[in-house]
Amino acid sequence: MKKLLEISLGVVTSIGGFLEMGEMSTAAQAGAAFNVQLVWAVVLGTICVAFLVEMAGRFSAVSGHTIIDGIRDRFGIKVLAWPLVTTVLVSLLVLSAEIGGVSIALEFATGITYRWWAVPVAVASWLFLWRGTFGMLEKGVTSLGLITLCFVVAAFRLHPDWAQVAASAIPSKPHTQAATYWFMAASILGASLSPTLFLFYSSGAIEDRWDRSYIGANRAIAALGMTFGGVISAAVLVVAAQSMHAHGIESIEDFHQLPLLLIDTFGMWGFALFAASLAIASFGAAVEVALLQGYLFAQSFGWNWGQDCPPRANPGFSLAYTLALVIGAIPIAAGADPLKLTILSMALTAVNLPLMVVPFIVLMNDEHYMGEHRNGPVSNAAVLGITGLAFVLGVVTLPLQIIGGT
Amino acid sequence: MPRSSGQRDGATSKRSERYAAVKTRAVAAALVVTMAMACTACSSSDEEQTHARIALSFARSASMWLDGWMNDGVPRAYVKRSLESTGEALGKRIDKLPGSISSSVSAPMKDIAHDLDTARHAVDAGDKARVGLVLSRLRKSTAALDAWKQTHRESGS
Repeated sequence: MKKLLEISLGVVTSIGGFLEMGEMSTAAQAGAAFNVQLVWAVVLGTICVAFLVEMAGRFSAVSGHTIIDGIRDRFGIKVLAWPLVTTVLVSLLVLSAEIGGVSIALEFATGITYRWWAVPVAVASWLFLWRGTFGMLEKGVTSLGLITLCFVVAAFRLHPDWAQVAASAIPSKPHTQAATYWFMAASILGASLSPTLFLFYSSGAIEDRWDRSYIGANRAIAALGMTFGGVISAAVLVVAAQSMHAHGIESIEDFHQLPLLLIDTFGMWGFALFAASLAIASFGAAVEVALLQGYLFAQSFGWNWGQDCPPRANPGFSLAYTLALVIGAIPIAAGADPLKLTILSMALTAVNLPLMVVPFIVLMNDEHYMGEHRNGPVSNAAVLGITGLAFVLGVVTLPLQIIGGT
Repeated sequence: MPRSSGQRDGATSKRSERYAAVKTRAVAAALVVTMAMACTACSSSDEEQTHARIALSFARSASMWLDGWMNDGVPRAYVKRSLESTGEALGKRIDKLPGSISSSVSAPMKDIAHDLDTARHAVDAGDKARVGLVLSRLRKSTAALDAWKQTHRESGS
């Protein structure tokens, strides 16, 4: 009964914590530009992230290590240094994007420009981490994230052609704007497969003291939570296709266009729902990404870590997330466009993926760590294939988008 | 079977070297692909299409904001800030338009930018009659750009 409750809670928090600024922006832009044609990227991303999250939980439950800790132990600090540096840099960009997400939600709510909200949002996130517990983040903020289910309701109310949506789950070539199409695919995959999610999940499994008895619960949480999360992400894309592409809005260049996603369906309530969804989802993500910086540094250098211990017991860990929030707030306070920053950071995440995923896959196949719970060929092939695709798309299309400037 | 620490150190060092070599090759290949793709980026016709698409999207978004405000469906501050932001973004695009861009694209773009600015002032003043006029002008400008886009698509140029 206790396990069943934990599974239910895990699934609920996975759903509530799935959508954030990156998922929302990439899916909205893809739906506006290409109708439902890019649903396949959301499907591939969801399949891959379900495998990655399941593997992350299984690894921690069986070996007692987090992924970072495991890579350091297996390959040494020199090999860990590359993925560590790039993941920290990309995560800082993602953190800025999430702070930007909360800031623009506050601009919608108050009319005060987003730049002024960057520092208060960073301070609020820091206070949450300084004073709060892992349970408050895991169960509190992410449960509030269930508000993002309003996108699923909107998708049904807009009556899309569901046969066309289902057919779009199979990858197809674009009719126009090929470079933008593949770039959007890379960004959607980057948003879904962010290392933040599985590195955080692995650290969370250790924080929650998982052991081998959690393998079944972990599998259920990863499969159900990520699938339903993917459904919300696909719903955003469908809503964008119906409320923007269908009205001739084929480009979202300005974040002020984003609330139109729900205004079309719910009117004034749509505006409020969008602002609340963006604020809660991005705040949860900002706190998680900042906390991940603490995990990354503490686990790489063997410092004490743990969100449930007081900050004075983990000075290095606490300093790392504090500095991350300071650095993350700077671009937004300086006036960087949160939408452009988000799309760029998601594409960079796709490019950075193999650096973290490849050593992780090696660990998952190592009998020394995993014993009889090693990976099977299906999970190896799915994860390597999809992250490889995301990497190639990101590497090829990112320079074109930067040069093209669109 | 757990390995001894000596065996593991040697194996770790070899794996690190192999990993570094593979990574260097991958980075070099990525650079070559990037440079090749960058050389073929963006024709002038693509540029016109991009400008037209963005201007149309801004104009249609503005119509939705203004319709929403007229029906008391969205807050005035949000509509005003949205019109200001998209107007500025479109203005910057117009300032950077190269001479090669057709006037069939640049003229409606300028009209839309002007309409966004007028709409912002009208919303600020709470003048719904003026907003109604701007809405009808915005529809004309979008129709002109739409017609250009349609011809462009049909001719396949």
